[in-house]
Amino acid sequence: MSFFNTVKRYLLYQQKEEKEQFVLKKPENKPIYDVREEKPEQKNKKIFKSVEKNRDVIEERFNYQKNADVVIRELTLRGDTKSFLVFYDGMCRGDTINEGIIKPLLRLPFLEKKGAKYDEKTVLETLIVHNQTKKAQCFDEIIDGINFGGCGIFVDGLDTAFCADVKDWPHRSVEKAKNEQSIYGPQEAFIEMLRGNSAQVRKILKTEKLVCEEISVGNVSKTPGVVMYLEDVANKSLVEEIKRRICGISSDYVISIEEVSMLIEENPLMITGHILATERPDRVARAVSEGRVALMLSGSPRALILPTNAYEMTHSASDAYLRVDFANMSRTIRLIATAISVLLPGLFLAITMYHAEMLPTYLLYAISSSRQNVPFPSVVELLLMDFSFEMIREAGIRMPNPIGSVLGIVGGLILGQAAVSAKIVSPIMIIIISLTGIGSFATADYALSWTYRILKLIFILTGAAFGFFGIGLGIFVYAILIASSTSFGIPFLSPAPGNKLLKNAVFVPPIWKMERRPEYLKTKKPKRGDKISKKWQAGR
Amino acid sequence: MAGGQINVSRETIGGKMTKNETITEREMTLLIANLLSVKAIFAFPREIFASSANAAWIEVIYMSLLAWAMLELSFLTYKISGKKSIIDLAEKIGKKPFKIAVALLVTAVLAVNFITEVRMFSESVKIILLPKTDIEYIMILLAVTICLGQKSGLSAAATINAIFFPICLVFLGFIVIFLSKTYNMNNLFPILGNGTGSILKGGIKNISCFSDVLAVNLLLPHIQDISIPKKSGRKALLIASLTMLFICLSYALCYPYPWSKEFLLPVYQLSTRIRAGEYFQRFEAFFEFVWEISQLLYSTIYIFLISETLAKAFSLSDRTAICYGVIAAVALISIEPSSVVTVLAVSKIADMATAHLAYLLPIVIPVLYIIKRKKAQNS
Repeated sequence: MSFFNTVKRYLLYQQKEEKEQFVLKKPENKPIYDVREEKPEQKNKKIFKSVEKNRDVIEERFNYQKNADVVIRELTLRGDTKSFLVFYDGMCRGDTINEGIIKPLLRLPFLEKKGAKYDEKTVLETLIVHNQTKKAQCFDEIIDGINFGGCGIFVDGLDTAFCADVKDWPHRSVEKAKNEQSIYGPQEAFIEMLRGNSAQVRKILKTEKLVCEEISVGNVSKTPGVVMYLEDVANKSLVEEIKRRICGISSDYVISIEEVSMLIEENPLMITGHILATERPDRVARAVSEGRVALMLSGSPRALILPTNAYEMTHSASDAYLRVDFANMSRTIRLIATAISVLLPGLFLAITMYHAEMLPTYLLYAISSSRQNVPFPSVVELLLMDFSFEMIREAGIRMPNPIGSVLGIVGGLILGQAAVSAKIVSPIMIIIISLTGIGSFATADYALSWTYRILKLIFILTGAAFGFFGIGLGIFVYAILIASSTSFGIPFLSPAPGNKLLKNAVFVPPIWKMERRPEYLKTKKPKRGDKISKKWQAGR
Repeated sequence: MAGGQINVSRETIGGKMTKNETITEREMTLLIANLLSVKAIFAFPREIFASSANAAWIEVIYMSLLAWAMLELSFLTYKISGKKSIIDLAEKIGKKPFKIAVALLVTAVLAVNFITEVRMFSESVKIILLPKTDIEYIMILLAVTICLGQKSGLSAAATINAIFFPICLVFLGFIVIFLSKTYNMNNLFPILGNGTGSILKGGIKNISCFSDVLAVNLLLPHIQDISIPKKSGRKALLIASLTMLFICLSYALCYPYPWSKEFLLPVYQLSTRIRAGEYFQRFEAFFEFVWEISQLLYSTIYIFLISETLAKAFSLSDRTAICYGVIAAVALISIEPSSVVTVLAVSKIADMATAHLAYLLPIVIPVLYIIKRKKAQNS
């Protein structure tokens, strides 16, 4: 039958059956509960004395009928007192709940004592055997705790609930830094665990003056984080301003530290970021010891360092661990590489298209002869090659490691060679693009390499359109925009030209000359140490 | 679950940030030095060679001394007038009408300087960098860039100037060094050129070269300490004098008189003579490229000064709208004469009419203010 139908379908015209297509409909009913529409009285809804009422509220808030991973465990304590626990399956350590909460609640012969009764003090101090438990009077506090891997405990007859920190979600262990590698110095990098990250910094600084103030970001997500600074060093107004901005974020879900960075930055549309993000605890520790403030967020393997300046962005994590001469050489090479990666293509176009007289005659001949059979103008040729290079770079990042390196070889060597052989591009253009690419890889900060890539394109266009004049205009506009911007109230080009500390910002000073903290941070303690740090040189 | 929760209410949000427009001593020094030196580079006073011949460098020293004396005279009044510019003082002397009159005079002095400078720079860009592009397009590009620069304010321009201007001076030093092969000491003789009379008369006539020192007074409200303008003014004048002296000396050593008074863009002519080894056959494009940023900063500062003067005159809180108007007006006026020769001729007349005001206003207005204050105190 079906065979005939198939034949019939090919031979005779039939109206096509209309299949029911899925269309996303507008929601008819409002959600039962929306945290964004909470009124103040709802927000601070008090916990009831009746455990049934509390359970109803919890079931409603957690959408218990649909949510498969929400666990509500009912208990009957001694003396027939009803109680229940709420937690997310998979986010909590089951053993801890069993041993530290359920067993003591069920087994302790507390109520056999004469006159004993369940009150909040007794439950907290006697029955719950867990190191981090807090009590709460309203539902929101408990629910926030549960959402962050806690276990909520409700006991009949108490208008107070308890939240035990039993979180234990899957996370990776501490690994080597991937984007800020250094041969010397510590190799550990941050992970997605907030407390683990703050502990890594604390492990380095080892002082009780290191403050980790708790914050939460996101109206709904309430992603926890910490603002980290040295109490006796950091400028108080700076800390207050950072906290003010974080509290001023009004977004439902803020998941990563990069989002926070974009939300608290003064110039989020500038092509240069004004906040330094690092994955190295040692770098955070160093910055905090200078009087800066670090910001960490749960789930983000990077920390923000606030405020920062233009020079700081060009520093590498390894600079601090190298001898002065080596570090300075490395930094100088990086600065030259930066200049090459940003300006070389634009300058090449400007010179070949507008100011050819600047080149020695034989070099000019060499360039012209290499371009003899290339059908495109220099600018098209350059953009073509640059776009190919950017594609290889993007593809290389997204591919798994072994394929990524193969892609680099295929793209870089074979494609380049083939393009030259096919006379689509000239060999000199391959050299220019390769130098530019290598220069951009030498950039210390990954975010900054994006800036350089965008700037490179701008200078290619201005150089092709107006030669040196266009490049000069571009440099002027970019420089003045950078100079007018600030990072948390500090000019981005701090220290100002002429300031003695400028050379310390551009080059690496000897460690014994780093006696003072950066002036522009206006720290409580301007000095890092004694004037003479090598006291042994003063004599026996 | 640990303690230490932040208690900052969301209601505290909304603190308004104000743009910092104060500048440091070094920034001010280099700003003034830029104003004076860029003028010497792009609108080089050919008249100095016309009047003093080979002794142009002596005339430069003489002019510098005159400008320095006038500057010192204006400094004498700072103790009483404080951080108030002549526009602020004019308001205290003769209320709004006098303030507007002084502001318009100041604007005229600045505009005369600036319009000539912008045209000369555009011409040099056209000759050296973009020979096939119409001057109108260059002017439009320049105007748009200055508009963008303006938005960032004085402080940003001062910071960038403090970075780029020393680089420009280094490049000027390179020019002087590279040119040394072509120097001919015989060009300096007779040492007094057309005679001492010509030097003395020419010096007073050409003192407009340093008329940008008026900016020292106009920038007074943007400094932190009253001792800054004195130090900055002196240092800037010294830098500019040395720049001009080296240019004049190099020019005199390269081109014999009367040939030396023939060129419209003397510094460009100088840079075309540079031969640095086998590689750099033509240096002038690179030279122009480096000094272009200084010129843009010069324009930004000038537009800032003009628009701020006008905003103060008419008691406007925001100078942004004036800025764009001023930029458009300057671009249109500077492009109006078809030939550079006409520009130079007109600017020479306008210069003679306004340049001396640049020196006199910062002395006369504070003196009037002091007199009025003393009268008020006596009464």
